[in-house]
Amino acid sequence: MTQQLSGKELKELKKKQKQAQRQARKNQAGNQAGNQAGNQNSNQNSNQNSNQNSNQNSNQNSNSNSNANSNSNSASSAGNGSSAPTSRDYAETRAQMTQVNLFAGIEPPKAIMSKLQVHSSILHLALQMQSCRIIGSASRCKAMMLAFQQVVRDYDTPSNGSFSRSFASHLSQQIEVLKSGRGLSVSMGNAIRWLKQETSGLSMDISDESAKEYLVETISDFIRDRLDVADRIIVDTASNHLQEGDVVLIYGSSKVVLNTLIHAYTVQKKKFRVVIADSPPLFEGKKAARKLMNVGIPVTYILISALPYVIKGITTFMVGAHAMVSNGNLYSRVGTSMVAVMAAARSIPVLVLCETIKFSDRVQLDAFSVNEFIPQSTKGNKDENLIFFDLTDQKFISKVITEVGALPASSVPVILREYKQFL
Amino acid sequence: MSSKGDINTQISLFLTQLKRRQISGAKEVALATANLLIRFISSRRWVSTTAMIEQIRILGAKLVDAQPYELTCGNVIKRVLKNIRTINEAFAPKGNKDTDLEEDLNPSSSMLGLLSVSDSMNTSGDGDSSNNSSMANLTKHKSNEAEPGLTPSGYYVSEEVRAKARDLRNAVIDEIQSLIDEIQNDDPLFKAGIDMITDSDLLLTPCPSSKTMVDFLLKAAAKRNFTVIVTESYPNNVEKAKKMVQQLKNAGVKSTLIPDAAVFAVMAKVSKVVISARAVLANGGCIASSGVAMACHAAKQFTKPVLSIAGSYKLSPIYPFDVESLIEVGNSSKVIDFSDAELMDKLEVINPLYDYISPELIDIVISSDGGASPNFVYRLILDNYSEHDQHLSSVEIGAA
Repeated sequence: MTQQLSGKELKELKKKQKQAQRQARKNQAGNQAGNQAGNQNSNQNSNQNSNQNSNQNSNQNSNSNSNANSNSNSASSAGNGSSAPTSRDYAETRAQMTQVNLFAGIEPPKAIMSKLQVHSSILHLALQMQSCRIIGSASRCKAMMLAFQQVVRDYDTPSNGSFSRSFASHLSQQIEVLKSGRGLSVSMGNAIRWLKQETSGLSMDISDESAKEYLVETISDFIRDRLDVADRIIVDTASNHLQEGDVVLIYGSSKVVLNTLIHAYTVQKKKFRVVIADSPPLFEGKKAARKLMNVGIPVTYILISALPYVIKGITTFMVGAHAMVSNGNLYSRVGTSMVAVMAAARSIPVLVLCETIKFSDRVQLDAFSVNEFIPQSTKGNKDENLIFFDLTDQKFISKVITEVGALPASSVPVILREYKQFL
Repeated sequence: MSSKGDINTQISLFLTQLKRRQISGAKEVALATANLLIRFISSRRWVSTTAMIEQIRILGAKLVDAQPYELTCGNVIKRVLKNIRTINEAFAPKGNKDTDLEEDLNPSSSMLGLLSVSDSMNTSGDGDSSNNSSMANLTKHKSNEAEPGLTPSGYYVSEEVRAKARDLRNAVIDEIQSLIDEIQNDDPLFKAGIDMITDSDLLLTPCPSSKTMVDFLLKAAAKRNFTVIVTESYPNNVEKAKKMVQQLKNAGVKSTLIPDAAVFAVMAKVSKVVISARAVLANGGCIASSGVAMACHAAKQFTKPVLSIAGSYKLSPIYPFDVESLIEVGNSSKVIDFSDAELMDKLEVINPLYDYISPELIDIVISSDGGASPNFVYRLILDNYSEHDQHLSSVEIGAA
C-alpha cells in the first residue's frame, strides 16, 4: 500500500484485503495475525458479522465449528479475489455501502475461549450466560459467586506455590473465560473486585484447607449480604410504595421488582393491577407475566409500542437496573428509557429498584459508548441493531430504592464514596 | 333510473369491502370513495344541489359508519360536499332562485358570496330567505316557474333548471375528478418534504407500513444523500419494515432496522424524525401507526424535529376530544400467540394498531399545499371543508 493509487483503486484494494483479512482471522481463530491496516478495516467488518459469529459460538467446540463455517463462507469470496469485478461484486459493494453501523464501537459477541485450567462450572456458566439462559445482573452475579465457590473447593495448590498467590491467577483465568461468553455485568465486576481483594488479603501462614474454607464461607456471606438480604430489604421498602388500586407498570423481568409485587400482593394483601410492557427479541415480559399470574395478580400484557394507549391509567412505573452509573443515570434493559420518558411526561413516578452491588464508578452519557449486543439464537438479520441496554437520564427517575435506603439518582456517587469501606 | 339498482349494489359492495378491510389504507380508501361518488352522482338526476348534498350526506354517513377508523373516506365525502357548495355559489350569481337557499345553507361562504346573494334576492324580489329545507326550495320553484316538468321525485321543475342541474352534475364530477388527480399525485407533497431534508441527514421513520413513506424516501433519495433508520414496529408491521429497508437498500439508500425499544437509544444520533400520518386532525395532531407516538416523545426529549407527511386528503375536520375512539385495537394473537394458551387465557393483551400524536410533538405538517405548523392546520382544514359537514353521522368518531 506504499505505492500511490487513486482513491477508487485504493478503496477497491482495501475491500479485497478486508475480505482476505476476514478469512484469515477466522481461520487463525484468535491469533493476532495480519497487519495493522487490515485490522482496522476488519474491525468494522466483524461488527457486521457479529450475528453470524454469535451463531457459530453457541457450540463449545468453537474451533472446529468456526472453521467449518468460514469454509462455507469463503466460497463466495474466493471467486472474486482473482477474477475481474462481476455484477455480484457490485451488488456486494452496494450492500456494504448501504450498511449502517449505528453501534460501531460496541464489541460483537465472541467465541467462548476454552483453556485447560478452566473449571467445568465456569464453562457451563459462560455458556448459560451467552445463551441468556441466566440473565439479569443480580442472578448472574449470584450464579458466578456460587461457581467460584466450586472453583475454590476444587482447586489444588501447585506443589511449588502458595494458595493465595496461585489461586489469584487461577481465578483470573476463570474470569477470562467467563468474560468471553458474555461481558461481565457491573455487579459481577464489583463482586470480582471484592473476591480478588479477599484472596490477596489471605494470610500466607494459614493452611490451604482453612484458606479454602474461609473463602467459601466469605463468598456465602457475600451472596447473603449483598444480594439476598439486599433484595429482601428493597422488597420491603418498595412494596410500601404500592397502594390499594394501583396500576403498576413494569418493563422486562427484574427479579427484585417481581418479588416486590408478589410480596405486596400475597403478604401485604394489597389489590393492584400490573401492566407489563415487553419487547422483542427477548420477551422477558412473558416470563414476568407467568410469575405474576401464578400468584393471581391481574396482568395486562402489551408491547412497548402500545404504551401510549394504556399509559393513561398507570400510577407507578417500577423498574430494575443493570447498573446505576456514577453520574446518576440508569443503565438498564433497552427500552427502559423509552418507558421512563413516557411515564415522566405524564408525571408518573419512576421507581428504580437497585442493589448497591450494581452501582458503578463509571460515568456514561449515551447507549453508544458502552453497550452489548443481544446474542441471537436464531439466524437474524444483521441489520437489526439488537443492543442490550440503554441509558435513562436521571431527570426521569423519581427515586432509587436500595438496601441502604431510598435516594435520588444524583446520590449514587455519594453512596459509592461514603460506603466504600462497607461495599 | 335504470342504473339505480346498479349503483346500490356498488354501494353495498363497497360497504362490505370496507367492513372486511378488502379496501384499506388511507389512499386506497380515499380513491375508492371518490370513484364511488362519481358513479353515485352520475347515476341520478339531481333536482337541486340541496338534494344532492342531502343524498351524499346520507351515503357518507353509511360509509363512515361502515369503517369509522378510515378517516379519509369521510374526508373525501366532506371535500366533495364542500365542492358542491362552492360550485353552487358559482352558479348562484346568475340570479336563479334555485340556488338562493343554498347560500343560506352555507353561511361560511365569503363576504362576496353573501353580497351576491342579497343582490340576487333584491332583484328577484324574493326576500324570504330564512327557509332552509329543500322541500320549501322546490315548492318555491313550483310557484315561480312557468313550465313545470315532472322530476323523478314528483316535483315540477323547468327544463331550464334541469339543464342547470346537468351542468351542475358535470361540474361536480369534474371537481371529484380533479380531487382524484390530487390524491393520486404525491409530487407536491414530496417536493415540500424533500425541501426539509438535507444531505447527510440521519432520518428515523417509525412508519414502515406507510406506502407514502417508502415512496417519499425513495423519491428524496434521488436528490439527497441521507441515511434511514426504520423501526421494526413489532408486532403489526415487522415484515413491512424489513421490506422497506430492503427496498431502500436496493435503491442505494443507507438504511437499517432497529427494534422499537431502541428508539430512545439511537435518537441522540438521529437528525430528523419523519412520520407518515394516516390522518391529520384539526388540532394539528395526527393518527399514525402504533409506535410513532413513542418515537415522537423520544424526539422531543432530544429536541429533534418531527416532520409529519400527509396528503391533503388526510386532513380531517375532527377534533380529538376522545383519543381512544380514534384508535383501533387489533388482533391480540399477534402479541401473544394463541398456542401459548396459558398466557392467552389469563392475560389481558392489548394490541392497538394506531397512535395519536399530539400536536406539541410535531414540528411541521407537510401536506400537498406545503409545510405548515400544526397550529395552522385548522386553517387548512377550514379551506377544504364546510363546517356544516363536520359530522356526517351521529355515531361518527369525534362527534360531540
